[in-house]
Amino acid sequence: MIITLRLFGTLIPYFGSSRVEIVCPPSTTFADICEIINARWGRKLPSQLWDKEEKYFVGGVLVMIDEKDVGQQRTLMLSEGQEIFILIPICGGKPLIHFGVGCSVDIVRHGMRTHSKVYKKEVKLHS
Amino acid sequence: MKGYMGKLLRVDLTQEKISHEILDPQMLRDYIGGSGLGVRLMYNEVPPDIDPLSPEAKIIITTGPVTATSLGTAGRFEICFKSPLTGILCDSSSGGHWGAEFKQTGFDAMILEGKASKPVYLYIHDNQVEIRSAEAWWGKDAYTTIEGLPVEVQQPKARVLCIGQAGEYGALYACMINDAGRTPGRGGTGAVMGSKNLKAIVVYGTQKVDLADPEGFKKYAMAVNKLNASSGDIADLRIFGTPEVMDNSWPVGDIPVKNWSLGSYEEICVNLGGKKMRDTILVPHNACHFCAIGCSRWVRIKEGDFKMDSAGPEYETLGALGSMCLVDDLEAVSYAAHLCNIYGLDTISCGATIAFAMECFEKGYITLEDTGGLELKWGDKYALIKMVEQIAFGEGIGALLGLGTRKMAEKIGRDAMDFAVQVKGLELPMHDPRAFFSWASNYATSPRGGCHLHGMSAIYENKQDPIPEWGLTGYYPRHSNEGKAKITRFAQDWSHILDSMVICYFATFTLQPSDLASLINFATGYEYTPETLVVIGDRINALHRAYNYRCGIRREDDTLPLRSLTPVAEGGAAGHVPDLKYQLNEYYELRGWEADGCPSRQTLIDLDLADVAADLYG
Repeated sequence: MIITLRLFGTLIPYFGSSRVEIVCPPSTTFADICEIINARWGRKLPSQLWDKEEKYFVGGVLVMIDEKDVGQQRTLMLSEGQEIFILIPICGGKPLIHFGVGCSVDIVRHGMRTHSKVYKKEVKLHS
Repeated sequence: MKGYMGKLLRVDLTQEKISHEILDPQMLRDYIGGSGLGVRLMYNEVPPDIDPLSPEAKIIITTGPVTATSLGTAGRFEICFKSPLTGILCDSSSGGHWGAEFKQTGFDAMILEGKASKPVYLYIHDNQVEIRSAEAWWGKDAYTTIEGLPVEVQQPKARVLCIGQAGEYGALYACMINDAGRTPGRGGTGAVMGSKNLKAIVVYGTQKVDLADPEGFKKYAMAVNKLNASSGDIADLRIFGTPEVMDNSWPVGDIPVKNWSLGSYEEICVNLGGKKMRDTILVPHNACHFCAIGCSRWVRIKEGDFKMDSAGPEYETLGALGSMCLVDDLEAVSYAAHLCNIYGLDTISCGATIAFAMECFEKGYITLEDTGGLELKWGDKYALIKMVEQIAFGEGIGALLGLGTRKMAEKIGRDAMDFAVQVKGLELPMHDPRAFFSWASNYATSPRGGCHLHGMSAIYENKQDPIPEWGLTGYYPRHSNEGKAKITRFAQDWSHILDSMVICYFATFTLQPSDLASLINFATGYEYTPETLVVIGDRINALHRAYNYRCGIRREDDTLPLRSLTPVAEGGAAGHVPDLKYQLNEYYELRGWEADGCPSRQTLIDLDLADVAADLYG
């Protein structure tokens, strides 16, 4: 059967398209799809979006099937023609993800309390 | 006072009297500047029972300690006033360059009071203030005024803040316009300005802002600017602008369709989206002051009924004038938005009111006789544009629509209030509380009425540890009510800080409170911390609430329209409705408010608002 991944916003470049069809056998679960995602795109996806050990999305990525949030229901059985929506739901796609947490600027001057973290990007999108 | 010019400009338009006043350093320290300063000045000077369109009403324009610095987006400014649309205190913010230019004339803030006997404009240039006749400009649209006045004052670098015909007429959600399509849009800034016979404020300044630690500030600001220039997620904002929300947000049910009655409509949203805009009518665009993001759109439509070459619509505009009215012609919606800009109308309230009127027409509450024969049907792009024109000039049924949905519903009666989607008279922005439950308590308690910019709470949902420095840790699924009041409280405080520094939300998506503290500290020499900033946010919120309480706002006003509490049948929010009462109970406890909605005496005292406590409790 064919399952379609529908990607949104900053996720699209990692998958190469906003729609990706996956051919899979009957009785495929969402967990099986996650295995496929890990095998095909896991290396590309940054750790702020994809946990390679857990083989699941993190960082506020929202997964929906049949207009419902999937959450952690990875054993969900899929059926022919279903679409899996994968999006970052910050008013429609702006992730509050700090690429490269903890690196970059660290400024302390004149005894003022100015220590802070400024985060810099680790990945380049839309090249 | 480092970071500030230290002066307030007061203009009495009735007496044609101009005065310079020294700003109280303690007030700046307690409220930072911007909206915090504006709310404090409003509380001190403007009685809550005043008619917002009377000469006694005041317009308070403020900047912040980082305004006119090298920090990206620091060209913004704030307007505080009593809103004729809502009847409560409203603060409205605008981007572009006007704020930086104003501060460089030598002032942090300006209070406009009285009413000119004839149309006038102000020309402020390096501590000099002139009141000039605007009779030749009255009746001109905003863009003509913005282009023409620098020529008249013979200073091509001058920046203009003005009203269009809607503000002259007095549509209750008429707004001021500055630069190219930037506006302090919400609440009726233009109506109040027009009521004073004030057409425009032209500014040109050459003074520099003296910072406490210029090198430290520059280094930090450049790091933030560089981050925003290179960050992957912000790159999307640069490429597609806020219209990208149309492309990405429809699956979750956050985009209102057909006056909030449908849960989702992919085709309409994609037709109005950022990708469609980029591929069709978008041309290279400018950014706000020093901004490395450059999210604003510029569109060119070369021929046809909607020919234009001007600032393009933002997401909120596409939602209000587009999906809300079931109009999915990007060119038509862009043109309608352009008309709102040149006439000076808030696109959110305007579009929402037209959508409401379309539903009234469908139900027979508004008839062909009322509309002068115009079929006010869903999806009719020509009816949409006709309505914008009528609202701007108060013609025909436009006079009714210019009152906003709440007053319209009051006049129409029957069950119209059930589908007038507003809170405290302010039409809701284009984000659905049924999709992200924190919008419920946020909209219900937002200081200026239904608003997403006094707490962009939904960005903290479905995210692990949203603001750890403020103790907002954990994970909050969007369709749960748990913790949503806490999210609302901190989201509102965050917005109070940004609006008091006066910088843009988008420039801070990658920052934490300590970053904001650092920036203010480098500018002012103060020693703010994340902990002191949250107290300031709480203080501004409490003071704003205290003012509104004196305007008559009570707990029963902290609510949502029936439609927002009625489930939709389709889309990613189908079947979900927030538990507003649950969220409000938690919110009231977090804020330290009494059951009737007044900040408690102890809360006010704890926030160094003893004078307010005395006013409210004796």
